Amino acid sequence: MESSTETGIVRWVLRIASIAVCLLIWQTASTLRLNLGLVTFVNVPPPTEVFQAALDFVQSSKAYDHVTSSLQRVGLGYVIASIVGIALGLAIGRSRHAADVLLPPLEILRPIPAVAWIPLAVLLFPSSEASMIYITFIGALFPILLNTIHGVENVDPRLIASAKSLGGTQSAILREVILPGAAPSIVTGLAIGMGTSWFCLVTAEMISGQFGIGYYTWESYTIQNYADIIVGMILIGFLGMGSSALLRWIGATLTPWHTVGSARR
Amino acid sequence: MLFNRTIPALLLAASSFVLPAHSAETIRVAIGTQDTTINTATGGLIVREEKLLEKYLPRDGKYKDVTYDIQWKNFTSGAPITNEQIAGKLDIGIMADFPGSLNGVAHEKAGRKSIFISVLQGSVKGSGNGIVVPAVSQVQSITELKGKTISVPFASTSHGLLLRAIKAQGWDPEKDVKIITQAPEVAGPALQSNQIEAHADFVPFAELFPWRGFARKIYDGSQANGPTFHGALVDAGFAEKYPEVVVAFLQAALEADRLIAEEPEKYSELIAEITGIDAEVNYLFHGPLGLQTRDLTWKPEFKQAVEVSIETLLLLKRADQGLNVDTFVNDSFIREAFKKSGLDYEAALKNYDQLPLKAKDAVTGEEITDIKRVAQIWVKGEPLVRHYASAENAFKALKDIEAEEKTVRVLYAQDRNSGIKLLGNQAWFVRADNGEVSAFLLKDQAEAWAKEKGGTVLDFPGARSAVLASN
Repeated sequence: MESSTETGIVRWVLRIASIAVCLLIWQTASTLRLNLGLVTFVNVPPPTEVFQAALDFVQSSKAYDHVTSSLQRVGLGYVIASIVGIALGLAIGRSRHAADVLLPPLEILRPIPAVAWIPLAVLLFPSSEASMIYITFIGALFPILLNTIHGVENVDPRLIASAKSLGGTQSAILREVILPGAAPSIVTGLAIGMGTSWFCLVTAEMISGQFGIGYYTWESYTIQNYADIIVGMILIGFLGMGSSALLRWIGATLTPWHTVGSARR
Repeated sequence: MLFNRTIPALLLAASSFVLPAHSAETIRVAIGTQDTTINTATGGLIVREEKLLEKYLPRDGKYKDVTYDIQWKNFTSGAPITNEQIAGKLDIGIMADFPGSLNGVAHEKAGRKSIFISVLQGSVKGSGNGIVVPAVSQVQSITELKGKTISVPFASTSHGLLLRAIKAQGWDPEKDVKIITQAPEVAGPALQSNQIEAHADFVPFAELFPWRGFARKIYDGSQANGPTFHGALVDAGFAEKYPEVVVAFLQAALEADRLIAEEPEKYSELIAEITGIDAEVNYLFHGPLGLQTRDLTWKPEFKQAVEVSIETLLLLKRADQGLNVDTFVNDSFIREAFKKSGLDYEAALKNYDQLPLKAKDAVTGEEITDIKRVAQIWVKGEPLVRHYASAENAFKALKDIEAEEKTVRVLYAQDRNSGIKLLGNQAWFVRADNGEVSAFLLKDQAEAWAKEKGGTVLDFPGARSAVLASN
């Protein structure tokens, strides 16, 4: 017990030290205006400047609106993507017919980058809010869908056969065998989808806006406030990381039979 | 092993590209243009396509053994051009007053300096910027926009117009309307799908969207009476080192200006070919009696536009420091270019006229002397636009042109009050009892005119059939 707490502390120290070292390198490179030929830090604002910009952002009256607008968009897009992704994934994973009918168009849509969707997203939906939610939805959908399919396909066929021989109905098998079996993979998909949904936020909020972190980042670009751009970027990073961690925690709680990371030393 | 060898090799190769060699052999002239912002054509597109810069670059004295590395890069707005200038990848950038001011501020923040060397095209009254509504909208005037959502490209010259227009209505931009940010690329589909109630934009979108048929212009920048322009900025370090190159660039722009003044149809087609923006819209800006005036001189109004944009950006808290306009705007290069090209700067500075129309009426054959009611028709397949002294002459000609089974590309009319060029099929007309037809951008203006001077207010098809019926 004691040793595990100790390793826990060591690991946290390592993690924080890693970020500190990154910041230190960045600070040094920016203040020295380091020019490495291929990469140059001549015009990159140092972390201290970014920190000041972050303080200004937090103190501004609009910070709350920016964050909540983005949380709402990502949240809604993500929830819809989870429902659609898992439902489609279960159907495709279970039925060859469903796979033949549904998979080809989805595979064609999958590689299309979110930014290419902008004009169509605007044409397709009645409000720009809906267009933006659609972009975060499309960002989250495919990792969830593919991981669900993968999870369902990898459920041990013997388990399904036994359940059948024990007289399990289709819906009971889905509920009692397939979902629990595929759950770890689905949770992985959900965690990745959370990240990719945030990944598309700036793209989504380029559509139009007043509030949103992606919008804030893009606006800062328009007016050449480089420090603010980095504030927006890091904020997206933190929110994405936080929501992914939250999801993994929820996932771990819901699938206690599955242990993650045991293979890693 | 492979990894160990390739990385240093890559870095070495990259550094030889990026780090400039210290010999005066090659001078890079990298120019950031905005081709789709068609009123910048004389500083970008035409200079590039006609290879005019090559013609004027100095090749004597200290430039005797120099080779030039001319780089053209095209962007859709000013912000990325400034970004590249700050990163040292562009020497000259072309943009409007608002992004240009931000360019100056960004350079100062980076410990450098940029200077605004010339205007390319603009309007001392503000035409070029405008407000449009979806074609299906009932809105006919800005007064009906209270409480509505209006989108605008952020920190652009049209943002300045929108704020000015709202102020002129006595409204509070924070409370009485909802202003949201939207790039023109997105505004197009948003207007088509009726997602936004109104949209303010810069050249050419306030004309292009109506031309494409999914929007209607309800406000011209000139109604707010505040100057707007697009011009050229140069990195001060570059200008100090190679002033002759900067002058050469402006001489090339002056020649481009002369070329398009001489053959507006031909160059409108060229701009269309490269940008995809229809020649009919390009001619609206660049043709005689155009919507904007091509002007390379630093008129006090344009200097004022820079001042106002800096003040507005400070007010919006979008810039955190001011700029000294007197040093930021520098007319020495453009004066020198005028001199070297044998042109009179002082005369051009005092000239506020639109590009004049020297033509004969295509119906009557008489010289057009009064330009107030001029109309023009561009017939498909014809290299030149036909000119008419009055809208009623043009309407009558329409019938004949169609009888010859020719297609009309566009009919232009001049606004009776402001003198700006209008797309005929979107304009409002007043037909006086004596048959005289006057054109207006807005229904309100047409109604006011009819009330005062008499006559009937008609839309395009109405005016057309009324003119034909009277024959």
